[in-house]
Amino acid sequence: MRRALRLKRALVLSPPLLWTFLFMFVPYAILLVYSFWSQNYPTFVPDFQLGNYVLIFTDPQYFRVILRTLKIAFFVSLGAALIAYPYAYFLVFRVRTPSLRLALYMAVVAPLWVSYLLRAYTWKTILGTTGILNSFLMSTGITSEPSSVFLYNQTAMIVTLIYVFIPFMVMPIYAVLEKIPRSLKEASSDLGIGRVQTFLNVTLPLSIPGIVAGFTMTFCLTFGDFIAPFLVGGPDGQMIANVIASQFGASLNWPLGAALALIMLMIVLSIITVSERFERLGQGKFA
Amino acid sequence: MRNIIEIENLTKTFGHVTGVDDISLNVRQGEFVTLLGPSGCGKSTLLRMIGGFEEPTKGRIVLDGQDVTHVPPNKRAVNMVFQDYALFPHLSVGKNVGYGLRVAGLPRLKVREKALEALALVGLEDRFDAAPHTLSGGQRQRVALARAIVRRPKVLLLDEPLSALDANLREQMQMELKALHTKMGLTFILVTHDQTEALTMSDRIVVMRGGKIVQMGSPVDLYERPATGYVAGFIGSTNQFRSSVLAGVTGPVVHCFGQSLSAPAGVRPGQQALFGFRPEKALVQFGEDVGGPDTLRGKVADSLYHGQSVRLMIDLGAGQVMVDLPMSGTAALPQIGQAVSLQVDSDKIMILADEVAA
Repeated sequence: MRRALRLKRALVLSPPLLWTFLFMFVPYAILLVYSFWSQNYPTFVPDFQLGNYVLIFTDPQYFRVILRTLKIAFFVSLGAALIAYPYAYFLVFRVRTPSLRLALYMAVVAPLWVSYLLRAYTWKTILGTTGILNSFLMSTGITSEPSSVFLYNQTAMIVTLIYVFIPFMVMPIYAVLEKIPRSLKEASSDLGIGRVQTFLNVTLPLSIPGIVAGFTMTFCLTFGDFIAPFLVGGPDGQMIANVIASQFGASLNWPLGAALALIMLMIVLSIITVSERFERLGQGKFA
Repeated sequence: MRNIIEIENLTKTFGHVTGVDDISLNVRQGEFVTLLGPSGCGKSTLLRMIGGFEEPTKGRIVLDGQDVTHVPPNKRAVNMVFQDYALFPHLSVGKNVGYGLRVAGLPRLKVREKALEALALVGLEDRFDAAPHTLSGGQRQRVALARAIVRRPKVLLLDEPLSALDANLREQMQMELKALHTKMGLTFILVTHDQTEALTMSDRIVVMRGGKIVQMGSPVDLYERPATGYVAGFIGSTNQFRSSVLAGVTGPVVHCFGQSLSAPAGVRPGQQALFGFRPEKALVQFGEDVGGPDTLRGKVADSLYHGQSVRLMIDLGAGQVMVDLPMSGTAALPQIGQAVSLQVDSDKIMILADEVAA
């Protein structure tokens, strides 16, 4: 009896475990092994040395790329949060008609079904010299010539990535705001507190788990992005994923690429761990 | 006593639906008033308008001499105990109770002192630092109560505060609420659909139906002299029957399912009306030929044992009535089919007004 149960459990669990093992742990293990190899251009040879890691931590160019990527990821998350929060708040607390609320919610979420590449590419046509922004500025007489300052820089990347990843910020914030009982705001008001203070003392603290979740997703997605730098980023717009891609491509330095990829993984994992701690603080309270 | 609340011709419509229909009501300082009615009768809407959470469509609310009809909740000296308690989940018990005072900028020590004082009134001062989700339902209820009285409101509003508690706890909280009311001298307005709750706690009950007040009065008034069949049926149980008043040998009589009883004072032969009597007001005797005049004769059709009494369904031939038989001593339970006589004196018969279509 017990053996039959154990066999059943093994049968149910083995496909996902096998999948995870084959396509997660094996590749990571391979990456780990590669990261200790050494380069012998145009090939690389098996080895066990920490040279790749030493290089990453001593050569300022890698450090600078990681720092820049963190900075861009931070600004994208911050920008997305600043736009998504008021939007989600408006949907949950101001829009009275459920169908309208759903429509406005889907307006933000639906672009997720459109190819990511296409959505990023859109901004090329908006910000470019022959783009919508420039023709608007020229037709209104604000500028006389098309300007190239909008495209191929970090701001363009941040704008594009905010647009691309904002659904991941709206969704968790919307979910957490919707879960806040209406009576809590009424209770605050009943106890003599006005709207602004009610927001700061009740609604905002209770929505922190949603903000943290959205921030984490947006941050990690941006951190690993390499399309936006490629499409709208300028010469100073390289992010860590682009560097890794080039190590596995043009530079033909897989060991260095592997070491960079593992460091990136570590950074993302630590961010997720910290944010999970945060989220847990807000759990189990609506019981 | 002066009026703390004066409600004049208050109406609230939601689209085409009228929630509260032209209600006028005065509440005296220190009174415990209960709004009683089934769900959808407008009692909660009325309470929420007093609290400021709903804007009246028409009419006026005067609180302590001041027109507050369009004053937002945070500027009204009334406080509410919410049905779901509405405790702030991210704040401790003490912080919940002191919330209004703290955010309004009162000094920290003063807030703590007042919160402790309010918690002491509900016997929870030792749970000051506990998180709300670690408390039992009854304790949360008390915290909500403490939070609502910490500012000494002119009126305390209670929106079905006991509906989420189990029966024993509810009874205990009824007594505590009543005691708190007496101790603090505050004005309480309670909304409930539970007639027992209304009867045990209130100074005055306002029975509502379809957005209107059907009757108001003391619990004894409403129980002993319900104005309509609806009130008689909603508060306690009543045997109701429609009858013409006929001239009898010893005076006017009415017919209850074909059997005649002396008519109550106040009706004349030729009139037709709705009559009723309470199940516990009939004198129950067993046997074929017992009982004098004003007696209904029938057979026991069913019995429900309640412990302290038995409710009997008596088949009168043309219909059924219910009576309560107290189980004092060790009397045997009545048998189904047993012959029974019910003496209903004329002063036990209530004259009920016809329902105004609601």
